[in-house]
Amino acid sequence: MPDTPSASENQSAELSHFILELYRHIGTIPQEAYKAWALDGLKRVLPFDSAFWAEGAEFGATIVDAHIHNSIHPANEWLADYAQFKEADPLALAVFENKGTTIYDADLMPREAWLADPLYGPFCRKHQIAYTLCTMDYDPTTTLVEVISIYRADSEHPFTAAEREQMQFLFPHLLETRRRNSQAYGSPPGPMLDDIAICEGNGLLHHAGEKFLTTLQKEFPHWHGPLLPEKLLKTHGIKTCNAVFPNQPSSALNLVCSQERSPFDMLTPAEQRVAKLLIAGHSYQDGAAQLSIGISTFNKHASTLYRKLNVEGRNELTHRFGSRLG
Amino acid sequence: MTKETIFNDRTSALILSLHRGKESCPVTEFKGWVFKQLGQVLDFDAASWRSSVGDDGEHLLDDYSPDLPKLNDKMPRLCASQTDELTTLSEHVTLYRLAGKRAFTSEEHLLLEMLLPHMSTSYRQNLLYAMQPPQNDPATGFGAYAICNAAGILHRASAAFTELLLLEEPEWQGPLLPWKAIATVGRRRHLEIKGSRIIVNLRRSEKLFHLHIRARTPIDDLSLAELKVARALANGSSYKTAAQHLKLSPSTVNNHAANIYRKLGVHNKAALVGLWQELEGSGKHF
Repeated sequence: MPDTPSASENQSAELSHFILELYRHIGTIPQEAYKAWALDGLKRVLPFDSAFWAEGAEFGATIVDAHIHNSIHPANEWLADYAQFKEADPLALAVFENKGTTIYDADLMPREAWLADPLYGPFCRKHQIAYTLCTMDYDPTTTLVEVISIYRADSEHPFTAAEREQMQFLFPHLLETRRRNSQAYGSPPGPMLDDIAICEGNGLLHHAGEKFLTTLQKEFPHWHGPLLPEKLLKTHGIKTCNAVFPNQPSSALNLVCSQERSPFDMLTPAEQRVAKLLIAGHSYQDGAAQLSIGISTFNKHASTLYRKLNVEGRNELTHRFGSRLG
Repeated sequence: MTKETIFNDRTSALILSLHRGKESCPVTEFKGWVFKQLGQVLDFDAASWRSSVGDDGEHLLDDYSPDLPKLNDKMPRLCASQTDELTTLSEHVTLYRLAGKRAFTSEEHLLLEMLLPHMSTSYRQNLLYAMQPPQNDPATGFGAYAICNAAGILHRASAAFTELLLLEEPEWQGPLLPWKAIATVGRRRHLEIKGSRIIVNLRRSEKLFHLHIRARTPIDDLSLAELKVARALANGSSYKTAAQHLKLSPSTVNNHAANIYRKLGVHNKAALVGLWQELEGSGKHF
């Protein structure tokens, strides 16, 4: 090992903060964007030039999802080039035998030896890979594999022993949060710390999430703890011009949420159901049948919601609000 | 190898378990549970954790300091705290060693400082879960959850999923799931597979299937009609009100009840209510 890894105060705070961010954003990043988002964050605490993050079943056989981060050539070209020697990749075999351990390619053999390899050498030159830190998780029962490699392009900037250790430290959290993020996909979000506050009956704070505070400060710019504004403690919460704060009083503590206000808050639940069906493209007849209401009632809800949302008709409704309701 | 730093596997595993344990541990035991975990990376004999709010921490929200020995100046101690300026919420954690033991190092101080944000986040999240438990929500729990394609090839699986799957199929090995029914699901969006020990629910989203496994309970043996009657009886209805409510004749309800008692292996309504609460309470059924 070239140097003695020692943790500085900054380093540990940065890493700790990054891990916290990962857990915080499980429910807020779309599944397809998660790997890119997490790798961008990783790059700030552990600099690299490009990266590879993939899951598969049966080592090397089925790639379920592969993300190539910041590659200079298109991702499918990268994968096609790699596919030519993936079974004979000594680095992949080394990580496969040491699951959870980050392997530094330069620790296995010198860079010159890697470059001299007839398959690996051209691949590294083409895709500008000078050094690699690679980590893998493997479950022998399910045969599911997950691997993250980060690459440096500059041969003058090798990874240090401390950086190898930090990658190994961060790897379980990248996996855990990615897995939870993909579980969250398609399901209603559960309680999230970020957009809620917990307080006593008199408003004394027990917890306030980051997003909650941002929204709160928009409405109450001069607010300062430890008591929440009295207004927020009304039985069912309040609506202000930018936000809604539903309040859920329970036996001992209150749960106050903050949500960005959407024009849909002005609609009644029945009107919201009608709006969703209209946006989904159902006819009045079909929509009325789905909700088990008469066509004339459906009609009435439609015209009221058009007026409330200030839209001319279905086309404008879909155009302006379609993406919001999915 | 050089000296181990604070970025080691044990510390990483501790952070992972803090972020997982917040969902299952009761609020009153949470801080104690955290200290137990902390003991795996830091050596200490006693500890306290104060959560407070207000300038200078004037409002004490929670003070956890179990079995503190009589403190004296000779005991090495390690303090870490964090305070949010805007909300004035703060956490103070102190670890003690018995007098005569070695002092805490700066490395240990760094470690505790690094862990504190995770301790406090999971403490708050635990509080939130207690107030608003997720209802079988895979987004928040690390449930028995998996994703597979239309051919039944596994794409993702949580550890809890594999564990339950092995209950039913001890010899199973991936990546192909053992249920042939998946390939024949056709255009349907939902499918329930009943095994002898587990129940699997499939939900299709585009080309993939989301799977949920739970352990099979005696309630799964009930027919739909029996389930309705059982639920009414377990919620305290008499046979008569259950019959009225479900628009059934009293003799039909009687029949169902006899079958329910037989299938669940109980002999009276009190036992039924008890069993129902137990299964419901385990969160495995509804």
